[in-house]
Amino acid sequence: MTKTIALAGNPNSGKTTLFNRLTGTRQVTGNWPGVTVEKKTGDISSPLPMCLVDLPGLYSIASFAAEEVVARDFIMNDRPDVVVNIIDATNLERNLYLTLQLRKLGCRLIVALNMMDELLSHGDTLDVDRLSALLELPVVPISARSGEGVDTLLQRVAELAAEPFDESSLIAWQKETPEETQRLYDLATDIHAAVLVHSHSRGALSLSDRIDRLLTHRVLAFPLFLLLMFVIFYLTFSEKIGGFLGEWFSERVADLGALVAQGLTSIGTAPWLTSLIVDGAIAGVGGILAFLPQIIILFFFLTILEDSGYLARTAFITDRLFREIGLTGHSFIPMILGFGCTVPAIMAARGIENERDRRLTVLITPFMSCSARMPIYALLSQLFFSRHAGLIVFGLYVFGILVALLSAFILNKVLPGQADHDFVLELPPYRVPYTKSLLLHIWDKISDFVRRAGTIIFLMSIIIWFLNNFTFSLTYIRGDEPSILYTLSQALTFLFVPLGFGRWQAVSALFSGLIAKESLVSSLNILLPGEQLATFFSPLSAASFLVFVLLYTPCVAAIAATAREMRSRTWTVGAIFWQTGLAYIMGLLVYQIGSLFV
Amino acid sequence: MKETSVIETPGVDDIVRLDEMRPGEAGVIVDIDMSLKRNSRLVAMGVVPGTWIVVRKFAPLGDPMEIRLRNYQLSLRKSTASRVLVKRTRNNDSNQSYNKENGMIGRP
Repeated sequence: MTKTIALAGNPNSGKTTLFNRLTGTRQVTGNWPGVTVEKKTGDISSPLPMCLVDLPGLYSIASFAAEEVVARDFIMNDRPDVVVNIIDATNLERNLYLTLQLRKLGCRLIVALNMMDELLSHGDTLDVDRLSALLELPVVPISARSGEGVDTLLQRVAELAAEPFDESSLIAWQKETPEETQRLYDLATDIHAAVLVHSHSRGALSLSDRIDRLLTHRVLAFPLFLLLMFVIFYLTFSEKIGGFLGEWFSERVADLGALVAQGLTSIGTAPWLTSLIVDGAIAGVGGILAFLPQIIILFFFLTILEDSGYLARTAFITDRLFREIGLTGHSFIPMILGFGCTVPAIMAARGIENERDRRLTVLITPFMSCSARMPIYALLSQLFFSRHAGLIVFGLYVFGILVALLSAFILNKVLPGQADHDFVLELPPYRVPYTKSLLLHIWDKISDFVRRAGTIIFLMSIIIWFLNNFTFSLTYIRGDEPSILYTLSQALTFLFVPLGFGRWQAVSALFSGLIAKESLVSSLNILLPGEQLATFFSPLSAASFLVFVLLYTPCVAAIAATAREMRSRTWTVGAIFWQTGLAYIMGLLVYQIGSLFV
Repeated sequence: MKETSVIETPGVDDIVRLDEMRPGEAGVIVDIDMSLKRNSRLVAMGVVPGTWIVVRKFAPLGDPMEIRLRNYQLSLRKSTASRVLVKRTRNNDSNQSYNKENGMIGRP
């Protein structure tokens, strides 16, 4: 029978790194507390068939934060055969508190002492046997990063799981009194003092401390942060790097399209099929793939921010600013991640303890321009603001941030409830991003992007092409008959006339953007082939369209994530209305005010 | 063995609010406000009476602050810290030597 093995431990103790090691899968890791917010499972076949469950990190099983409850409920109700308690050896004392709590529950426990290599590199020593004796638990030293000791751990877990286990030893969880908490912590302090010897060199400033002194410096902290963001976006968008690679890519796609069209025509393929392949699939998907280099560069840097430990510091330095709008610095973590992809960014908000703060953060995170919006920004700004294209894109990013902050400010004033004034966040040590995990992370992004281009975007391109080339009677259009897409979108165009883009192609593109934001570009490429796009918008209506795209409700995946995190239909629907309503108003303002000057 | 909960050198220690302490100062938590005891997160992270803490720094805008306890760093707002009472220990009178720069506790 398959045994269930749970991985439990403090946030940022390396559970997911170990999970990936054991199962050979690639869940996302990072160096900030709260990367994993849902339990994930993976199977191992040897030495025993086991189902491994990676639980979100928890500081205590007495906590009530959403993701900590997930972990506690699993241990208490699902009764895993073995609980592997992963402990950060460099943070032993606090980690032991959870171990002592778990021990009290009576579940079958084994301790994986992680980051032993890092501890030893500090010159510290840890008496593993003594620790095991004091805890009365098996302890296996490992390094989840390098894989050292992981095989031994797996062997021990399998041995333990194979033994018969009397479930009556499990004790129901009771609310912990402050006295009991203190007693467990005192015990943790004693055990820590008995087993760990710090080297004398620790009095000196560690490298992590010196980096920290610079990055959170009273005067330099903010300039350094802004410089860092500038460098990231400069490298991503710069014509010399990201832009150059992108252009090269899109020229190759155009060449491919022409070549395929030629080939298909020469072998006598039906015009509709040639059109489907060239104008539908290649134009749609190819237009998106051109942005792959830029997306790789952006995610490369976002991953470094995550893995280095800097992300938690950005929350630390900005907390004071976020207090002005009724949030905490914790909200900044999802916002920065929102530059990559809105879905994981929204999920990162779960670490925010206060429910109201969390919901507001989920609502404003989509205003951060995700990488899927990059293609449409680039396409339209280059076409209509050629000389100032960079400025327009920069402006859109900044405008999104401002709208996010302003939304939080207004909603905090208007909505009932008290803003949370607590901000308790662990600041992990700085760590050099691990090359292998960095590369895996990037590789995942590439394959995810290509897969999306090959599935969702491809499918959307075909659908848009089909709806645009067939009539309701399902005949292929050769003349001027109205297509299905025309008839459907025409009904809604009147809504967008005041915004300057009340035309059916724009409306169709916006709807396809709901499925995936990249589809905006592929749809426009299909609906307005060749030079048509260049005359479709005026610079002003392009600006209004871009502002609408920036703010309107994110893709379906992000809406689903929003609904999961809000856990309230009112909040979810409210968020969609707020986002789309703001998009409409802002687009209207841009076009109407702009019309006075143009 | 229970070094963090033993307070020696009477007479030179004084009890202050955590938010009043300056970077580099250290002490032992003697009491926390009832409302914080109910704050599961702070207590779960080991901010309990008897804990040795060192103030590391304040954020560039003056708030929040960063403390070191139990060999890790924690950031909390001054409003929260004001509800934590600390028995401040003079550097040279402490039975533990610590580095003023980084708040590392070195054991003799």
